[in-house]
Amino acid sequence: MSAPSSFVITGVGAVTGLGLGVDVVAQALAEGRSALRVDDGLQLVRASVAAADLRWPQEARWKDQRKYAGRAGVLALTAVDQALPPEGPPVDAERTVSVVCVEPDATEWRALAQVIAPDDERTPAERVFEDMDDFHILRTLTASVAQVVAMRVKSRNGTLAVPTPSARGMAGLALARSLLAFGEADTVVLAGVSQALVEYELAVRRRRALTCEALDAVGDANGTASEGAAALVVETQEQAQRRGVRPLARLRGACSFAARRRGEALELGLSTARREGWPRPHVLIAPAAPSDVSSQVAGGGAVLNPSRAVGMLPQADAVLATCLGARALSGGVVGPVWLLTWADTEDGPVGLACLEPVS
Amino acid sequence: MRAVVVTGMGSVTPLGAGVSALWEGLVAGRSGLARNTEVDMGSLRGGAVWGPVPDDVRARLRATAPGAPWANLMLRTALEEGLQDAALEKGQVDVALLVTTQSTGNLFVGGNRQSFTDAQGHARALFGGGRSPSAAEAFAHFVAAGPPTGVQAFSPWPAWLGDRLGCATSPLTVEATCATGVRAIAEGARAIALGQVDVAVVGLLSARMTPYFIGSYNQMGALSRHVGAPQDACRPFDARRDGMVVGEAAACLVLEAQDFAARRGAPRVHGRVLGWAFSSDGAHPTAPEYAQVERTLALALQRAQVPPDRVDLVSAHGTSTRLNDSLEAKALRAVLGAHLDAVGLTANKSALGHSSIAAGAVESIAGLMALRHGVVPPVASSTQLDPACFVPLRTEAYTRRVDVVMKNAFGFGAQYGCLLLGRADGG
Repeated sequence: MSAPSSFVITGVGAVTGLGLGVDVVAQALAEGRSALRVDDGLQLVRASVAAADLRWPQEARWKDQRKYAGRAGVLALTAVDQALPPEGPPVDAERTVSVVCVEPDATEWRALAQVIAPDDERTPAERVFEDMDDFHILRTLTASVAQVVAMRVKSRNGTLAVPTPSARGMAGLALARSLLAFGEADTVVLAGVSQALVEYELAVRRRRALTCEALDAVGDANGTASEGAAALVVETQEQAQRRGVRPLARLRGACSFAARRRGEALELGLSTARREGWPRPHVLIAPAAPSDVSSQVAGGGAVLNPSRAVGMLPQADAVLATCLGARALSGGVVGPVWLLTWADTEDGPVGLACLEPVS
Repeated sequence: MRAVVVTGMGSVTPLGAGVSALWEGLVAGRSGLARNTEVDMGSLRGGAVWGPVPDDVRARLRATAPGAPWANLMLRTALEEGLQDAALEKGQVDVALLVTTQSTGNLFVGGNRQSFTDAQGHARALFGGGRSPSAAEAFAHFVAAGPPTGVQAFSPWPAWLGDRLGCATSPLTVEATCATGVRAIAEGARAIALGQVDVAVVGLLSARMTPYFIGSYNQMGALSRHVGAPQDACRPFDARRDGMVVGEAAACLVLEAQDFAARRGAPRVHGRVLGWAFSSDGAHPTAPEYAQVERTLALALQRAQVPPDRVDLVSAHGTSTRLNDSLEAKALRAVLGAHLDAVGLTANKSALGHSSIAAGAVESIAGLMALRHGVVPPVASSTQLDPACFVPLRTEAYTRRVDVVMKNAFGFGAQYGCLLLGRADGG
């Protein structure tokens, strides 16, 4: 049996501060609109998701699941339900893997802090045992978010979280492609979830920014850690045909590198592109990347930075960029779309991917 | 597809620092479990015993880097041993895949005992007296006090490995609860098999023995309530088993393409990654589902093209919980059939405790050592085998030829994994 070599994106979904849907983000970018607002308390700019845009299954069995999926799980499922509508053609459960790029659920920090802060006669372990919600610990595990996604899409071929800090979400896309190329799966449901909106996490992040300048150095999306989720379905071309779904775009390649010297990781990504023969980009979608870097990678192509509209989504930006690229290609953009993720942390992670029109 | 071999291994476990300490301790039937004297349990019944890195080893490692966070020290020690074992030096690789686990600590959870104390101090400063601080107050607090020690700005390991090997890295963090160890090895092996990289460094760590974890695991009823001799607390497949014992550990495996390892003259090959399989299901947040356990084991054998009767050693997940061990035994019987009675079977958590996301990697290292030495480590604590399990455990080490090892790892959140390891020469 020959290994599959052609991989297509067949579903996209997103929920951001702009609202529900990849189209909403794309439209806002086209019109120059933004969901970013100044938070008076911290003097930070951010975009939060409206409660009305969140979706959670109504069946009885899902009520308990929400207890340990946390807010990240709700965000993930909202995006996944768009990418793979429950009423649409099902995936092959035994040949589908669910992957979620996500950080530990920051919304749980306040609850835990309140439990361990008092100085009473009980030990901290007793306070956790007696006062924390049941299954609280599961809400601190990123894999719990991956599990609810697996449950929703009914995938049985394994699930995992990619707990990924800034700009490493592209590692999730590269992993998805590898799962398909290796023949380990026919379909991968990939989600990215960012939820940096809890005041205490923002406080720490702001503190980090002051101490290591990690978040102040991302150029056009300066420190706008926000909230949102995106999801996509990527599968072998043969599987898309079997399921009877229309491919939106072809995933030509994806890679992710880190290197301490600024520019080295980007050069590795570009050399991968050359080695694999990626065609030059017609459009570059580059969340949170500095303008000079975007221009260098785009060549003469157009550059879109969704962070301007929805803020920086460190764990979701690679998936959201992929969704926007697939939408653009299915909507008539004729040339290749490249995706670039970037962060100015000490190991300078860079992600690069290429989408092509479906011939 | 390229063949993938393991050329380097490193570990820090309750049996000591280094793979030799791990292996010699396991074979001798020594236990790394100890009475929990650091987390005040109060009235809680589970968690009186745990598996810490021994105090003398801890002190020795701390002396090498005064002030370094313990968790970082554990992982760095394991990584360094693994790289030295593989004799990987600067300039030998252009890009190394680095597979690690979660990159940042949780603000108030604390990554280990020290950082929990620190986190509790922050919590008291912010929430003491029933106050609920505003975001601006929280911001002012962290500006003044600095961030909690359990929260790293970003993962330091890609930069560390890049400096150590003089190369770029392709970093990947993964979490699949207690199946993470085998999942991380599989991720590295797949990238090599596909030709994406020549070398993958897998580094896993679990150092979570804090009041939060002890309290939470008590809440779930997962911990052993054993209060007798510590070495008897974790009894996989034993009729008296009553729960898991939390342990801490760090592990490193250096994976390479077999042709690359041969070309660069890697000094040793510990074994070959033959295949793997993972399953998922969502029936319950913590309880395993039998059908998925059986499916995972069968699928791994099928993908690795290993007939059931070729398995020589089963390294069981063996948590010592009632449900896990009975389901795992049943699945082994279903998949291996009568051959189960002829295999060697070990369950390392009896001596090490359960190091969660690191456990699958630590136990894979032990499995690879069994390949090399042809010795099956004992499960010294399990002296009254549960008739409902009926797996071929022994309480003393014994020799037998080991060509193929099956390593099982299951986790909360319906995670099921199985990894197959074999001799590099094919046996």
